[in-house]
Amino acid sequence: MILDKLDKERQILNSLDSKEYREALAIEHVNTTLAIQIRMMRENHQWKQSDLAARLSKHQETVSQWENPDYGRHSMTTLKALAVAFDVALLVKFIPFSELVQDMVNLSETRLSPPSFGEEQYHVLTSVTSNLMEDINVIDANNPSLVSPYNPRNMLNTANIEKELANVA
Amino acid sequence: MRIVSLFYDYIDTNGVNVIKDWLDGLDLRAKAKLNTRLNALEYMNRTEWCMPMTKVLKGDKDGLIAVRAEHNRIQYRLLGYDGPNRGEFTLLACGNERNNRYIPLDIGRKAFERIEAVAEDPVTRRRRHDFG
Repeated sequence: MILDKLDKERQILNSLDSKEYREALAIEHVNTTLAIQIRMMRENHQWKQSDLAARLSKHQETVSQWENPDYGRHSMTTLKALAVAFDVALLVKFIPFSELVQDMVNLSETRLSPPSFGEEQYHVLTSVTSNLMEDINVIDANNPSLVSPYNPRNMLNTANIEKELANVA
Repeated sequence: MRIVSLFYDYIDTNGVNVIKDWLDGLDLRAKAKLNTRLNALEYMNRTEWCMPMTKVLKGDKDGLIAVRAEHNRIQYRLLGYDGPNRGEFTLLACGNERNNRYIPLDIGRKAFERIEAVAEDPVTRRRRHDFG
């Protein structure tokens, strides 16, 4: 897969020798990824095109155009409004062509459909909780005396001990 | 980075990559459109493939999928299928669409013949898509 990525990168880099082609590639990469991002983020929010249109006081047909990679006439005003609607950041900047190629060969589901701020917060929270639980388990294994009384596993152990005591009695 | 579908090009009996040949003959803007579209599709789950970028064909082209692009009022089409292996998509034939008809008219028949050729000899009758 790494070789495959390198091959693709080399092929695209070689194609940039033609000025006309590299201009076209840069424009079409923006047009394609923008259209895909708008559709995928809308679908992640479980919005219909008409729902998104209503939020931005537009017609459903306008949203349909935005989601068409052949459209390519998104204005900065529209993109800023979409970023607000999806609660994501918008980054517009000039880059060298080498960076464009990197962007093309490093696409991913997350890049095509970036999570909203709320989703990011949720992931951070669940990740912190998961790490905390792992830490507690390590402490639990290394030194049982440090086990938190709120650890469900500790409560389970207490129940087992009570059961065993009852059996002995 | 995770590629979901690897794109392959059909290679004819003379060893010619017919997909690259066709793309190289197009207006550069149309070629760039199709290549950026193919690149993006490689990273998208199949459930995300939909109109207007792709279309699942029916009728006499049942089993084929068209990758679509429009430039200067010309509708460009690349026909392919899922296979021969899981996670692979092979581009088989290319053409245009005008008034809901594919040109050349025998594009579907050609595509099906090529599926058989690829199945018989997947090593030489297809090659990883050339994005250049």
